Amino acid sequence: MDFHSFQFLLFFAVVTLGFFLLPFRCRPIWLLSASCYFYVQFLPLYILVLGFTIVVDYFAGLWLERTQGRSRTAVLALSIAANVSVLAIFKYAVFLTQNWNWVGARLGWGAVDWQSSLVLPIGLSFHTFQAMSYTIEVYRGHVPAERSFIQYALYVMFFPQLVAGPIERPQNVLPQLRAQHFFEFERVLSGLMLVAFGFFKKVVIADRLAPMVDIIYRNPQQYVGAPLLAATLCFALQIYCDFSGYSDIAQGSARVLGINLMTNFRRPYFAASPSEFWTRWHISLSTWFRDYVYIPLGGNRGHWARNILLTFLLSGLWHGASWTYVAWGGLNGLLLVAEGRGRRWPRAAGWLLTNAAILVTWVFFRARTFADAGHILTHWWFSPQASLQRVWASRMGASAYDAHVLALSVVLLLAVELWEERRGERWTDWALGLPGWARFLLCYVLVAYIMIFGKMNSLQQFIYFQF
Amino acid sequence: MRFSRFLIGLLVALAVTARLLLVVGTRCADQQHFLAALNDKVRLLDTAPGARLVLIGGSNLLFGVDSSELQASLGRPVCNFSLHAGLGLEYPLWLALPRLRNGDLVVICPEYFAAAANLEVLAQSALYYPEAAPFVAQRFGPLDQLRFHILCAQKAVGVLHSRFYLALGGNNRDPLFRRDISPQGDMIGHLDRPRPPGSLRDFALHPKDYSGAVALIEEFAAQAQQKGARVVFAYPTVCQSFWTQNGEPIGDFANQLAGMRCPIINTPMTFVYPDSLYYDTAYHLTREGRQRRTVDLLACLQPFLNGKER
Repeated sequence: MDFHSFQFLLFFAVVTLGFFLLPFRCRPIWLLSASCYFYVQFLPLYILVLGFTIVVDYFAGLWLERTQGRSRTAVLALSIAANVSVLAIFKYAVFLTQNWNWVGARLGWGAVDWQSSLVLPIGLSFHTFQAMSYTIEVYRGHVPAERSFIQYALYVMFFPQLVAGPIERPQNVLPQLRAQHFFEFERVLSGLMLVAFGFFKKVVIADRLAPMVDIIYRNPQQYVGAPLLAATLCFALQIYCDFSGYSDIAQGSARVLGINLMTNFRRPYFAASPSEFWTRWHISLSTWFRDYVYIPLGGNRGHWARNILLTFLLSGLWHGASWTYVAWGGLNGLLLVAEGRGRRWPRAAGWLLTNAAILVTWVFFRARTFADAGHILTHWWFSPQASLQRVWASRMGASAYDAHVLALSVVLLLAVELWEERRGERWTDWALGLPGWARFLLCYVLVAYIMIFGKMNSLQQFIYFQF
Repeated sequence: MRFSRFLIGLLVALAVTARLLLVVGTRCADQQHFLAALNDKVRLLDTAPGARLVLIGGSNLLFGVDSSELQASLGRPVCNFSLHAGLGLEYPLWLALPRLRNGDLVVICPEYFAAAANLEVLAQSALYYPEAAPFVAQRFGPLDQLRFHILCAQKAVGVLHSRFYLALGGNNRDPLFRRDISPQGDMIGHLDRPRPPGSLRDFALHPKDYSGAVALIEEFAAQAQQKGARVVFAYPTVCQSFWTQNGEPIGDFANQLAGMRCPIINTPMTFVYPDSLYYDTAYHLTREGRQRRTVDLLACLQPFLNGKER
């Protein structure tokens, strides 16, 4: 069940209706059942994998509270090992085998003949990290262990953020799951507006950009010049609209149910430095790595550059079992190190340089191989005029209609984001202060726009679902 | 209560908007659009006299037979009822069934794996021939119906955009129009044009379950038989490179059809020709290819035509 499908809208309507009609004590079970139903729509059997990590971490949390000293650390290590093992088996086994064999071939060792037929469970990296944050926080004494298995399972499985985050912390979500939520018109409306805005980003912009990017990145060696640059620019916009669109839908649907999830994106392309970019992009993951990897490594003290690089290399590996992702993470780490060692730029120049550098890193994120990435980076200035004319004439495979809708939608998105950046608040919060008729009009225009211009017949899965 | 009012008001406003767009879009729709030819095809099926040869499928038939030649050879009217693979198999069969007569011979020849309709194409066709709406209402679930109506509104906006864009001097890329189709329903507009460059792209098929499509053909054949019409199935024409690339899934498809009661008049190899005989896709034949396929189709049909009919 895709988040941006009619099936999801129907499912969400039924879950919300049931949630507010049921007595408070039944709601956690209702939400957990709904989350299980949501998850089994992808690959039913893999709910057992999720169940395994939930059981392990639930009991680890209880055990952590009862033990002291070394055994306490051992329990934490056991819990983390269980989670990392699941990741290693389902996500990294093939990658590790390939690399082992590559090294082995050079050192004369025998090759490991292991072919995995396992499919990556959807959202594995997200819920595994969320589960790990629970045991770490209990270990640190920041939160008490959750006594109710249902509540803990719901913390990991809560369907709005189950498959692609935000990667929540127990301090934020567990108390909210225990609290009693009433149906409040303002809150529900603001949640629905956020959902609608997520749909706008995803089905109007990201899904329209996807085929334009794919056509070039499927075989980049066939192109030189402007098509490569244009495809990378389109990808930068696509991944932002895709992932932040997902996060808006997740945050909005959770808000309807009374749960406030953390903000995952704060207009990242307005950042004027790489460090600022990473306080605005995929915030839940950045803060996870900051709190659980970077700071324990030593943070800003001592070998801070090494700590940053290591953190970003791991972050790259988290995204995917491929060296191109590791390179992407490494490059971002290098940007932060360069920023830390270099001089401060004026904001406009910093913005330009940051976005240009981030654009280069996206090439590694999207390209299938280093050869493709190398070709793109070394050929995107070739014959600029002629290739630009070709891009203009071909519109990268898009119809005139799609190109015009895309241009209009991007301008609208930019206008909204500029407005939000200046005011420092989300438009959905601002809209709640409007008179009733104006709110209705705003909702009508937004939903009608999505209805008329959304790509309904070519559902593209969210990019981050694969992680 | 307040929320219900808000939600109902919003849904009503959206439904009215969609309806208005559809009305305006239908009025502004260019009646020379390729899919508007569905009107001519239905009219042909309604008016062609006597026992006919009716060809039902996608564009492999539209681009791939010479109906005049078939008519001259068979001595019976030929109705090429094929148009676009995106319309699926069920919709053309649904349209054709009430129009069949005693003595008709129906050849069903869909593209590989194109048995299911594409809602987007159905919605586009509804702007030119509104029967798609009752068809979707009868055969699709509520969510797909909702999607269809939204797609209709989207296509209507596309029509308005196209009008506006052309008026401003924009270039319409549609290569073929309704006027490019012959009175018997064959695409002829491309016959004297050069082949577009780089047109035969790789296209990989994947095996899937076709029991639904088989059941659909069987049901149609049984209902046609009640009206005195006979139904046969034919594998489509594809270019050699497509065949080489997709031999395995096509073989799997053939295995699934093996138990079908509806007679199959050819093998998947019968209409496979060199790439040079194809126009812009692996299914669309050039003039020479079309002639060759017509001759081969005639040969395949011989056993199914008795002496009296000939």
